Amino acid sequence: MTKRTASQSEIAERCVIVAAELLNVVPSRIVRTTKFSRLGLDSATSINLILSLEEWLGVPIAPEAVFDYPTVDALSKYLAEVCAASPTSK
Amino acid sequence: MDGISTLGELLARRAATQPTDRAYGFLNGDGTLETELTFADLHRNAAAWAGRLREYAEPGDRALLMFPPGLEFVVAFFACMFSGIIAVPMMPPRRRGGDSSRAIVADCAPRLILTNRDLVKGPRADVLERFCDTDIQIVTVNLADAPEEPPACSLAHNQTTAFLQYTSGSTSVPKGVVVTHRNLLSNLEMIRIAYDNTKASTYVSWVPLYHDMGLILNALQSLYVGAGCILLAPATFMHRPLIWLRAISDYRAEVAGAPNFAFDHCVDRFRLDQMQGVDLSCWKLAFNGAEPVRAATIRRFAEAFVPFGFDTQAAYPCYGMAEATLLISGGRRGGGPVIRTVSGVALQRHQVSAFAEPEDAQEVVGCGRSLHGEDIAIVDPDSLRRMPASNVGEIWVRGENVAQAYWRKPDETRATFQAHIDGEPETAWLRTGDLGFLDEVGELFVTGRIKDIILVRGMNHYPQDIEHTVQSCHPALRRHFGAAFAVQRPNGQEQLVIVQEIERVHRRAENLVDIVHDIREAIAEEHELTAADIVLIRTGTLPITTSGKIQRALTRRQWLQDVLDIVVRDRL
Repeated sequence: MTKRTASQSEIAERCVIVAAELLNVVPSRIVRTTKFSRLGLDSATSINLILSLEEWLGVPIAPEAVFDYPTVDALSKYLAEVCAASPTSK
Repeated sequence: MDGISTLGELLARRAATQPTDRAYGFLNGDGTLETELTFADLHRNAAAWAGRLREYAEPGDRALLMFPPGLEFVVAFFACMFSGIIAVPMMPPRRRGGDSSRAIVADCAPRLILTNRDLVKGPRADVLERFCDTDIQIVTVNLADAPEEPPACSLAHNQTTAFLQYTSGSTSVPKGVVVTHRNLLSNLEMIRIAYDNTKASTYVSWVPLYHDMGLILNALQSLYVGAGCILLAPATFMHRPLIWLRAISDYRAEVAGAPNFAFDHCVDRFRLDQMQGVDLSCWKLAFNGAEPVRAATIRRFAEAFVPFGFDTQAAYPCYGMAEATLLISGGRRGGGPVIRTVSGVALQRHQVSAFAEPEDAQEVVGCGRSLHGEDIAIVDPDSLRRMPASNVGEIWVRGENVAQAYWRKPDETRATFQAHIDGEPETAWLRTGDLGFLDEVGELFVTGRIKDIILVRGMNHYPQDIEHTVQSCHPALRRHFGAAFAVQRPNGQEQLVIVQEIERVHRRAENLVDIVHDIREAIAEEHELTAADIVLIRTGTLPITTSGKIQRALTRRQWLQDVLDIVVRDRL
């Protein structure tokens, strides 16, 4: 995987787009401070969100992240830190 | 099988004839082998733990088995088989949300809870702590600490209850299917014949062992034929589905299967770089069951994986349920799927006929034929008359694999297990609650269901449980006046719809949107489901019978026809 350089706000935008696609709704429905479960993501959909972000960012993400950081804002902040900490593309 | 009348005797024979062969292996989240047990290891461990269990419980007592994925479950299960204690497999508690142990404990009154260190000390230890002040003994079964007890002798016989399967019934009113050794061994023999399994039929499975398909079709069948079984955690599969395929390739597995959604998941997460070196030519039987099988899924999977050696003839749709121990129908190994195209409109009316226009064409996938020594009948659910071939009716089953009862539930037992076809009073049949037809050559097609369950990712969900969760969200939601049901998306997948009455005084719209979001959150957290549509309707408009029973099928029809009296709706 090639690691992508992305800021927290870029990651948050991507997160919104992917979540909206997974739920088949317009992106404006994905409120960044609302818990994923409240938006309607069940566990399988949450895993798919993580898998999609993992590929886009090019860094491995633990699937539990979506439960430990259950909003777009919290998750994107966490992922920005993961990206900053991980080595550049292999 | 000659001379074998219980599961314990079966393990003893395997330990005697194949002591050093691998019986089970467990792969971790990266796909690396973490633990393994030979047949001799398993036998020795299970017999020793059986001796320990007998210090606390008598034959016929129940033991709940609550384990995270791993081999401890297998050891605990066979410890029960050796000691005559009735095993009750259960899903371990999830990270958040409720668990079904309370109701199951109330229903089967266990003497023991068998679990492991991870659950006793982990984040959901609260679930076990609840039992500390009761008479229930918690026993931790860890592979490393096999006791030195003298092994217990096998006290069971053919008619002894081996275990209870609680995959039927809601979490509030669970129903435990009583499975005897005879039921189990008959179904395992039927599966052996249908699958044409031998000791070379290595298995790879991620389906949880507390699920009837995971336990019987995988872990017990492999032992039955003396083959090895490689297990993975369901979370490993959900996170990295291609690890399952790589394991099939690495271990040269002949048999591997899962519910329909799993085959789609592999295609959705296909990545060429994760498939390097994977050779699926060993895979002879890719069974697909536990939920409706989709022709489109079979085709997509073949398209994606034929280049990696997958044989399209390995696809093996099948059908079963816990009330029949497990498997009810299956095809011939290597026979490939049977797919027919019929009129979709006619099928909605429970009739089978040829389609006229292409838009009306609907594919239906065959689930195989009745197993050796078993009969399947299609019966009109109202008149109870047998129906001829190519007519849709309720699927009824008869055979030694059919269980006798639900645990201590005489009325439900009579209604489900002692049904009689009109004009055939001597034979008792199992009523499955599923609808389908047999074609002219005896191939079974499952087309729908009468029972109210919701099937998502191979797991049963009960409307009453979901309705209760909904109503617990807010006093505005009228208790006992809600309906949860499934509708099909165009791609064939089931999705959940909630229709719920609101109390008259709460009809003002401002906080109703918040309430709907509360409902969405509760359903995702308690049931791990996405509600596709949450509809709050006016007081008194939910269809109920004169005796106050919720008419879910009628509500569903009203939803489909868009004639509900809607106050607020949130549709994805």
